[in-house]
Amino acid sequence: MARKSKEDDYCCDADDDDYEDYNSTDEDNPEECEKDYDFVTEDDVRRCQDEVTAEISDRLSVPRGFAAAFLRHCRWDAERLENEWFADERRVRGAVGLAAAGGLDGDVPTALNSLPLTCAICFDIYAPGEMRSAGCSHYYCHECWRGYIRAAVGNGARCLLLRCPGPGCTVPVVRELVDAAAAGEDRARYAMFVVRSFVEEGTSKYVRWCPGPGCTLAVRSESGSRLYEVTCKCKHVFCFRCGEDAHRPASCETTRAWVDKCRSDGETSSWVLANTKHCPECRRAIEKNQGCNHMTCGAPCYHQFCWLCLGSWADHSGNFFHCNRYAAAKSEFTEEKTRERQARASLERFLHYYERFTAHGASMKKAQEDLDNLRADGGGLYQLGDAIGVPPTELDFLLEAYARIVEARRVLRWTYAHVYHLDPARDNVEFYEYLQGEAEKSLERLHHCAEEERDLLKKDLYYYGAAIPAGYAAGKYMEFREKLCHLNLVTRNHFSTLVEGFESGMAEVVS
Amino acid sequence: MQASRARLFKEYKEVQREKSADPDIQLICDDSNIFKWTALIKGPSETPFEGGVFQLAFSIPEQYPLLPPQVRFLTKIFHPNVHFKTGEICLDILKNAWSPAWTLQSVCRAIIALMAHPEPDSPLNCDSGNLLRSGDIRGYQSMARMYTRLAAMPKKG
Repeated sequence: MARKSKEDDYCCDADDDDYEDYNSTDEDNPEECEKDYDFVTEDDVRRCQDEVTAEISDRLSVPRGFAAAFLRHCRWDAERLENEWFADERRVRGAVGLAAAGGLDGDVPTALNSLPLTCAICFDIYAPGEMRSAGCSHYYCHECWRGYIRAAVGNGARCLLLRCPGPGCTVPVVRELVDAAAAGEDRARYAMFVVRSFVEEGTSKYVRWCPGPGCTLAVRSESGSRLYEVTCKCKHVFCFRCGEDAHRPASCETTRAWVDKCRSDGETSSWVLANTKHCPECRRAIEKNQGCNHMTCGAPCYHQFCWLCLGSWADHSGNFFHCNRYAAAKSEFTEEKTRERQARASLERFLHYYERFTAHGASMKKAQEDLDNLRADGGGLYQLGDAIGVPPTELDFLLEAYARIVEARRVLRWTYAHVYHLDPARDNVEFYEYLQGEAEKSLERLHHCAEEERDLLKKDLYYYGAAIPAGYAAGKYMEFREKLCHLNLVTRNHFSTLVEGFESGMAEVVS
Repeated sequence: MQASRARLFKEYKEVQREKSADPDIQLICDDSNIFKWTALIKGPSETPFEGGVFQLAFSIPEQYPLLPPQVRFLTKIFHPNVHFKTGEICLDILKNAWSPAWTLQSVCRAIIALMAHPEPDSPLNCDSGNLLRSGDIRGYQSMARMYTRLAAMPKKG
């Protein structure tokens, strides 16, 4: 069992503890109650899996390898397996390829030959004890088994479904046989796939791998919790439900839709619609990239028309820049025009949110970098401490402010995804935007104070150098500290209102 | 490499020994390369391929028999699961259902079975597949028979 996250990493608990100093009145901080998760390593997962497997193996009186195969079939849900097993044992056995009943000696995961036989893979003859089967009557030599399992493991997680090589034989190849026959590294890879399967294919909603690059930890939550956002020890912040980057207050569905939207080339076609017109003759899409309104379509059409009214250029003789046929042409092209206008409006709308989503993402990244720099050995915190004349440990409030900024930027960026997906007819968009605006304003003030005013303070003190008036530095510092802590608190309150409001669909805030 | 060579050599000896055992299949190993084989198979009776002799080309990977051989028709054939131009064959045992216990001989047998029982739902030759799927058995059979006659039978006169 790994330690509780609270005990060991700054970034996990930067938010909660020390606010009492600043007259916090907020009693039910939602972040507080959602910290009921811990980190488990691959070893912990394996141990847990082994326990479940051993228990089932005992209860159903089958070897462990088969128990694991049955469990995997039931998505590692022991209860479901037991129910299905005692309701219809044959069906469960059939599903993993086992005969309806075990042989005379019960189920055997692997057996050695007792007579000399020909291996059906290499066609050599082997003495008793030199061949193995998966419990069925198809025996192969050790060398061929090793190659067969190596090829399967090289194919990825599908090796968990490996069957006896005999044509038409469905008997599963299970752990015992792999351990007995495969080479060391293949055994290890197989074992890895088994563990992964437990987390990835398991129905247990309470364990999930951290999707952070290179991270091998899994996160486990207490059963029944409404766990949402998780900060892994590797600092990756992700949504426990969908595995995407953390996206509060947007829901998982909104996030999926938004991510798809950003990725999709559907936007490209909207662009084409919004920025091109169609030749009235051959209907080809044309983008105007020169000034003159006299258009000549490309080969083989060569139709000449007016870009403004889409009427034939022949009717424009003499009167080039005063297109008086607009009103007349309008009815002719209404449908196309409307579609164009709509596409342009929807593209503009998307871009509005997308730009802000991206901008806050960039700010978040920058703030995270600043935070890392401050925290680094001999980094900004030390320099600032030197300049002001206080030990860097006293400057923790600055780190807290930065952690808040990172967090708030993340929330803010996802509110844009959320608002984009609101339905103006049903939702009170204005109210969402009001909350968003207030939160954004407070965040900008905080960010400004942490960034620019800190710089000013440093410069100010640097300017005086050794000739600093007594008490001046201390006074300036206290002023800065107080302001930043205050802004931090204000921002926190704004954002907790924001998150609550967005997540509850505004009900509480409105009432 | 060594294992595949040894195994192919055994298959070769087996083929020599059983030459007359399966009159529908004739497996011939390339004189200079044991990883290249050709086979002549007879079109199964009561199918539009009856009376034709079809040539298959085998290209065998070094990891054989852990990996399946690559097989294609050299003789043109009108069949839903055979690519009309390249002769590529869509057959599960040549892809993910391969087992090292299959042999070149048994692959040929499986291909003969495929000729008699086409799978129009996963077609490589869509025209052929569509004829069968739309229920035009006569159309399919006459096309297949025509190509058998054109490509898989010795020219008369």
